Amino acid sequence: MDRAVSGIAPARTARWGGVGHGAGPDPVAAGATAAQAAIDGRENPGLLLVFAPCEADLPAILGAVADVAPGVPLAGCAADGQFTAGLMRRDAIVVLALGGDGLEVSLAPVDAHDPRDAGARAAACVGDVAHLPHRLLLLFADEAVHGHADLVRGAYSVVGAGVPIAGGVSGPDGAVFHGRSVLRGAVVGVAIGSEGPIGIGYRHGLRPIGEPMLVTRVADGRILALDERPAADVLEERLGTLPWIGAHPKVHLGLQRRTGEWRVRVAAGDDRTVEDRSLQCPLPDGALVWVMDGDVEAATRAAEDACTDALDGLGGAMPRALLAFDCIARRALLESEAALDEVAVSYLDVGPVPLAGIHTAGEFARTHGITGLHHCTIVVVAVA
Amino acid sequence: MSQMPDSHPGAERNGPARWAAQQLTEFLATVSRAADEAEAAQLGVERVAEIVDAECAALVRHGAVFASIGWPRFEVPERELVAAAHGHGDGTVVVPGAGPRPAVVLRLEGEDGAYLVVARASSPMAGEEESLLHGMARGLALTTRLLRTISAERTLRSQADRQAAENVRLLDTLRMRQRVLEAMARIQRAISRREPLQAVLEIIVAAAGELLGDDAPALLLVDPEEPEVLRLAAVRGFSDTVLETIRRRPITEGASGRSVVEDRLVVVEDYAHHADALPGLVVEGVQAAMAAPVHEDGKVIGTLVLSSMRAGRVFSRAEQDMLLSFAEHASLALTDARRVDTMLHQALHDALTGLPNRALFTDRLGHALTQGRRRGTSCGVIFLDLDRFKTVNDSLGHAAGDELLVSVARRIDESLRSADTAARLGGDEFAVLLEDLGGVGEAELVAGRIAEALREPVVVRGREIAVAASIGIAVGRVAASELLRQADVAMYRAKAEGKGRHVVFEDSMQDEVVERLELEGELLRAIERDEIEVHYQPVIALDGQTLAGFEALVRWRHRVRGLMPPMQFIGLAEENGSIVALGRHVLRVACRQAAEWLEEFPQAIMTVNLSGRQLEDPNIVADVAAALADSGLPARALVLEITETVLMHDTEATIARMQALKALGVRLAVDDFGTGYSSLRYLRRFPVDILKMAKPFVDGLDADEEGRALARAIVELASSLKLSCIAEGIELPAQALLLHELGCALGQGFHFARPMTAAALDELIGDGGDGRTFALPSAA
Repeated sequence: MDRAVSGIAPARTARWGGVGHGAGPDPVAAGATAAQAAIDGRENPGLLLVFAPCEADLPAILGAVADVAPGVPLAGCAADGQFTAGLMRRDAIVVLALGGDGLEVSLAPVDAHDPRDAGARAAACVGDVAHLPHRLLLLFADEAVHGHADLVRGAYSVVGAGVPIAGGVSGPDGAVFHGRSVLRGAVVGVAIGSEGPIGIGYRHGLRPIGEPMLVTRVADGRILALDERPAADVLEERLGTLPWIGAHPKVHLGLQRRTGEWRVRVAAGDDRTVEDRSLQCPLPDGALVWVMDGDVEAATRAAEDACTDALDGLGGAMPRALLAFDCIARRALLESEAALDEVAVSYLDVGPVPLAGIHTAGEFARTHGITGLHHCTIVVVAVA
Repeated sequence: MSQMPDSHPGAERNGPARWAAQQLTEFLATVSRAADEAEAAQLGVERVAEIVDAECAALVRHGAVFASIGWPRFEVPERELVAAAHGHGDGTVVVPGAGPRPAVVLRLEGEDGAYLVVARASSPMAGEEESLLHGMARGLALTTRLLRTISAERTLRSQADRQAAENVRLLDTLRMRQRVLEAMARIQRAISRREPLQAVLEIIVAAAGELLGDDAPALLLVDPEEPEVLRLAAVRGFSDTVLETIRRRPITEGASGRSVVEDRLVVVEDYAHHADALPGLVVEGVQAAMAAPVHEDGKVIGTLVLSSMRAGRVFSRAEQDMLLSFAEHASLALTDARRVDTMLHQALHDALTGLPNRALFTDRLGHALTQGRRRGTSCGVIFLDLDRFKTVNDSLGHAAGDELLVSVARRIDESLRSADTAARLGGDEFAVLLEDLGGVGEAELVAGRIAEALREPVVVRGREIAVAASIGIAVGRVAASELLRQADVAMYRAKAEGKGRHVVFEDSMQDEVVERLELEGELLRAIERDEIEVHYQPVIALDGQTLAGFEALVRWRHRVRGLMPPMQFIGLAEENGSIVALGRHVLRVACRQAAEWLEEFPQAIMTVNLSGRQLEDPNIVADVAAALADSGLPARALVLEITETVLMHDTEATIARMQALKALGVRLAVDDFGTGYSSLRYLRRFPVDILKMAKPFVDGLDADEEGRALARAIVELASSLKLSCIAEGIELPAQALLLHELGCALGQGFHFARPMTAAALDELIGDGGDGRTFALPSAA
């Protein structure tokens, strides 16, 4: 495990957060611009979170960011859209910097061949910040990693209930970052220990429609049958036609929790769907699921509420930075990408607090219970 | 850290009722996929925690933690968990990040020294969750044992001579496990499809039979009315003769009774010679039986029994476990199914009368029409609205009103043929569906029977109440909603023609409905179009027959229909809410006019009607204050008239508004006094100043002595309560004279003057000032 711990500054500086963005044909210049704006001359940077477009020259960008603040722990991922307050661009590079005294960071990049084991190993870095009163484990996973639920479960098995988990899955054909390295098929754990509180909020805003269906056959993370019939056929009958989001048909299914909370899972079609009418979706056998639906208003409110929940979690402490993981699938709900941009920018625009966000293909948030994988959800982390 | 989960009202609807059974199915499906004991234990604790939304769970076995989740990997509080498992310590375990929390400890039955310990940061586990946890613990124990058997058999497989037999056993074990899951999934599906409770019970019993391949499975439930009796809820495989003997049995008899009384699995082999054997079943050929208790919210409510006719039948340990586990699941499913059944019934029936509600009625009507079309018959709908029900409700209270509705529902139901369906559509509206009608005549016969049944007074709280209903009938093959609407239209016609009659729908009535709708639309625009006029009727001092004031009365000058009196549109305005704007308009116009007349008649009052809807409007006090301020009319000159029925809704808000109006300085009058009920009660309760004697009492003056006594009673009541009295509808000089003699100070009516425009009234009173004597031509 390769770890980096922030240096110890001789005089105490207040904790701070900063965000910067850059774009343009020159990835080096754009990366440097974003990093410089994020740090903005402040002392003692402790962590750089970098978000860049999947198709960009990622090594060049990471090199440029790292050169601005040599030795500062760097993590992040390539996404399908990056945003900050007032800006959302597919081609933007967004850098969020956290620093100051009373903030410590440890990173753990892990090959994610076995997701449960990878989650556990990525979480081990939390031990490095265990002496601080408030801790958070951020997980950045590559889209190519399978078994996201196992990943979070593995991390939870190591950190336990005392440490919240947040994070997200990179965009399609994405990658995760550790220092100057672009990693694929990997997960990067970022342990943040702080003297200030950390809040997490997550919402999807979807509601169940129609009668439930029983999952009657599953295998290898796929639903083969609902109500004893081919899964895609059943859903097609329900919905008329399977909605397409991006390159594949995707349906939001809801599982009901004890508390009345609805957990969303995306059932996605792929090449195999054409052959056997099965859908990719990590659901337990015997589960009762509902088709979930939403609208622009509900999706917008979800973003607003997630942000409020995260800020409430600070217990009145001043937020230094906000980090958002917003599901790509929410675009379909928001009807157009333009609407999503507007939402991301307007509802997470909390004024002077620096905000960085990305569009993810799976979101992590565990604050209660033991489950931490979400779909079609917006997760907001507030750092005080 | 704070976060609020996404929840939705739908959760309420679909949720708690079927949550537990669904979770158990999921749980068993998950743990049964484990390849070995260790994996089952780990999957088990994780799924348990996940399902009950707990942060921490552990499996403690033989004094050590065998599997856990929720504690940091190297900080599992083993000693604390073992102590909690064995009931030592303070019953709590530490949930990281949340501190000590109550630990729920469940023994894994049949597994020596094995316990499941669960703790969560949020609220402690509730009853239903504990039942579910018991079910999961049992499922985990069963799975663990099966896996151990498989593993042991695998070890033995190396012995070549036994391999074939072992493989068969191994396969059997695996198949058995699969069968439990499939059986449970079937029940789950039945519940999720909201099949009737009895169907779910049948499926539970069928599944139990198929599970172990035995001949006669049965579900017996404790009779809620007679707790010492077990009743057969569902059964398979017994002859009719035996069924008669076991349909209802004392709880103290047989293996089934014992399993309920002792709340445990009872296994009887060599049935014929067992003390618990029932003679009937011995004759039937039962060789062995086993019964597992079924619970609801932790309480035994029945038993699932398997009887086998196979000679020498012995139940293996795994089979016993399976029945127990299945009974546990059946318990949760049964609880679910009962709740769904109850909810479904509640959703489709009127809670008060137990009759089908509008949704169910419309559905049945639709089916009946479809069938009727096939058979070439028609359907009929009788629409029934109780006359003056509101008055009963208002005067005797809602509880009495409810009692009356229940009686009416029963009488309607008793007047019907067996195939007919009665429903309560809401309020005092009922409907009856008549299937396979030959013609309208048959429907009229039924309507006549209902009217006859209602004719007998109903006794409610010791008072006899005469009930009558207006009945509309529609017969045809049109769509359900249309037929219901037609009957509704006919009912309105019946009401309009005089209460207590029935009317058959005719197409021409349709036009009236359309007309009414048009009128409604026009009324909404009438104020803007300046079509609302205020007319005034003089109020006369009966002593000298001089002018004492005016009553403002609204008129609608319709562009096509001409001048319309209030009874043609006030009801409509009340219904569509335009009464508030209409009332405000009249108030302002009347106040302006009164201010003008006040110069000439300084002591005159202006009375303006206030409807119930206006009094419910929170802005009414501000509206009155504004009308006074804008017109410059002193508050003492304004009298607001409220009907008795409004006062009978004596809510705190009504009283508060009336007091606020009084605080402005205006006076309050009770309009149409004497036509409602319990007058004294609210006269004491409300701050009224004036009683307006209703016209029937004035009409009754010259009828007989009794009529005069009634009028006198009202005048004396007003006098004793120090209220003024205005007699309405005086049409004859003798009436004016008698009222004056009775002590009634004020009066109004055609005898003095009809309502007229302000200009006409100006002309009538000329310039005689307030000394103007109303010796009108008719009185001369």
